[in-house]
Amino acid sequence: MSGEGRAPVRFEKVSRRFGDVVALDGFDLEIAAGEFVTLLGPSGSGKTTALNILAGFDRATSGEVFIGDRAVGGLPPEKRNVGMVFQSFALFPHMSVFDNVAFPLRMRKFARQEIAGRVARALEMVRLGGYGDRRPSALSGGQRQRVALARAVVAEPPVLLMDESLSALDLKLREDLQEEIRRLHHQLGTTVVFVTHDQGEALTLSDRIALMNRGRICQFDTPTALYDRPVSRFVADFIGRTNIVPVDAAGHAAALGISPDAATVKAVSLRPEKLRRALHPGDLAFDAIVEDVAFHGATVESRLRSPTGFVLRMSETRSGPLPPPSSGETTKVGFAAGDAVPLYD
Amino acid sequence: MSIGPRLTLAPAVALALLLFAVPVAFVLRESLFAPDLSLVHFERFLTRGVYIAVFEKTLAVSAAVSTICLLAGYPMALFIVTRPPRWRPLLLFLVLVPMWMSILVRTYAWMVVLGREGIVNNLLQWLGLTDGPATLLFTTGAVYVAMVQILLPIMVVTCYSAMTEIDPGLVRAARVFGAGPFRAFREVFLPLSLEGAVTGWSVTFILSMGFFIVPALVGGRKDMLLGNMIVNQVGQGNWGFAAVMAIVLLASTVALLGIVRLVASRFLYSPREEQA
Ligand SMILES: Nc1ncnc2c1ncn2[C@@H]1O[C@H](COP(=O)(O)OP(=O)(O)OP(=O)(O)O)[C@@H](O)[C@H]1O
Ligand SMILES: [Mg+2]
Repeated sequence: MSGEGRAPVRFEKVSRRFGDVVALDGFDLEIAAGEFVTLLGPSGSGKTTALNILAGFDRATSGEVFIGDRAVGGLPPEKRNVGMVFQSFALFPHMSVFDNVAFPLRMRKFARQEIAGRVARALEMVRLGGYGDRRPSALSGGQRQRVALARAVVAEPPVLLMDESLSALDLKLREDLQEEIRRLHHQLGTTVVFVTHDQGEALTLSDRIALMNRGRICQFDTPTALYDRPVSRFVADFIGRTNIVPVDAAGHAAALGISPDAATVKAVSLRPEKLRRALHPGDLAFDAIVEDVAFHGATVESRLRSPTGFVLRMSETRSGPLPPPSSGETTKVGFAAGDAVPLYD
Repeated sequence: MSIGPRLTLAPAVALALLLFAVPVAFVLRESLFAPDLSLVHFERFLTRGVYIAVFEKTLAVSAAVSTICLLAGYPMALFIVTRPPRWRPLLLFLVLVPMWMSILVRTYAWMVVLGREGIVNNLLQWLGLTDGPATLLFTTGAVYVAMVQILLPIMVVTCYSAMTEIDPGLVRAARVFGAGPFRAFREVFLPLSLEGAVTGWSVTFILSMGFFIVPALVGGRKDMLLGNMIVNQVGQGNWGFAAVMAIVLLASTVALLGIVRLVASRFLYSPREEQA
């Protein structure tokens, strides 16, 4: 199975209104063939709506969706040739595992022999060879989701959709399946549109992440770019933990040695792990009062107060050069100038 | 099952025994003593062709009425369950409204509707389809119409509740994986709802087997069912023979439903079985 059948996906100014609620608001997204893209965002940001419109369960109020170079907005789901993994698994309870996986092939009128071979290979691929005769009810949650995965890819659809596909599983299984999904993506090369509100999952799996808020995309970038160069307060705050230092008359930023162009920059993002007490040459630095220290296993987390009274969090690895700070002490804290990321809204 | 649930079920079981098993035992005793222990009542039932004929007719009418209810009620339930959620309670309410009236009242209503001066006859004559009033009342057809009308809501509700148990995501999944609307229905929705359909058929069948008001009021003499025979015999003070017919009615209903269950469990998907 190679990736010849993979297709690009494009949302063009897609809006979807439910009465007064605007679930998608001029949503634009261009996904390259074979790319693994995650729609990430808080609850109600429109992720499911976008995926439902792509799958054909829902129609856009305006705008168009393309799979390959075909506009699919008017096509029913069965004509779109996509695979899908659902949050609730959605395995057919009255069919065996084999029949579940065979379903997309039967609907596409494959020959019996071909079906048997493909189903066996797909089950092998998710390490469930030999489970064909079982009913879904006789499988564990992780096994069910792997069957669902096999069913989604067995017909080699050019696009694979997953809506919160791992959310119903516990942490350990979720990590196993993340690996499985990554491996499948490498092996098949299919375009994947993955929906989650779990940023960890998004960061591990994706080639690119579309971070959504209120029916719009805030930033569409690689996981590292999203983490290192957020463009807005919302993005910086949503991805990982950070200190957002406002650039305003209060002078909090200036007290830390940061002086961006106040006309365009509204705030600065400083990741807790970029702050350090062992200063490097050229570091910007300030005097901080350590208000609280907490051990988190591999890291030590401190709450700092800047000279202007601004509260920042600092995260240091325990293998660092200095012993952990103690509560109440005053210390110099610094960071590389480039680690202060300007935020424009 | 642990001992706990069994103990808590005990009062319910005791009540059921008291209200069901004890009367059945009395009826059974009545059928076997005439006044000494003998099978004369059973012999009478089995050797007189007329009783066997009525028995067969009761089975046939009940099976037919239940089947008509199923063929009409399943699509109605399907229609309701596929409407937007906010419309469903209203539609269900409309189906259930007739059940607020007693069977007796509804049967009298049918007598009015189907009578010589009834709405149907007036309509037929007004349309010029018949010259004079047609005989609609006191016919087999009237029995069927009234029984179906009375039992249909039960069928619709039974099918509907089974259908609401089906995860709509399954039909969506079928669609994504290449099934058109009809195919998705046939491959996924229908098999998952058949269990409910069989339950609906069974319930209407049980109820039909015991009908006697409807055939007595809107049927002709040849439309008598076993229930009417029992009423007649009781009226004449033949308790023993009435008891025999009651036993036959009960036993045949139980036996037939047993067969239906057995066949159904062989071929149908049952959600309850999965939970085991
Ligand atoms: N069928 C519907 N009718 C009315 N409003 C809806 C409907 N579906 C979605 N919405 C609204 O549209 C907005 C976006 O919903 P959507 O389900 O796409 O969010 P989401 O990003 O998937 O959230 P979650 O992480 O909770 O799944 C929400 O405000 C939601 O209430
Ligand atoms: Mg969602």
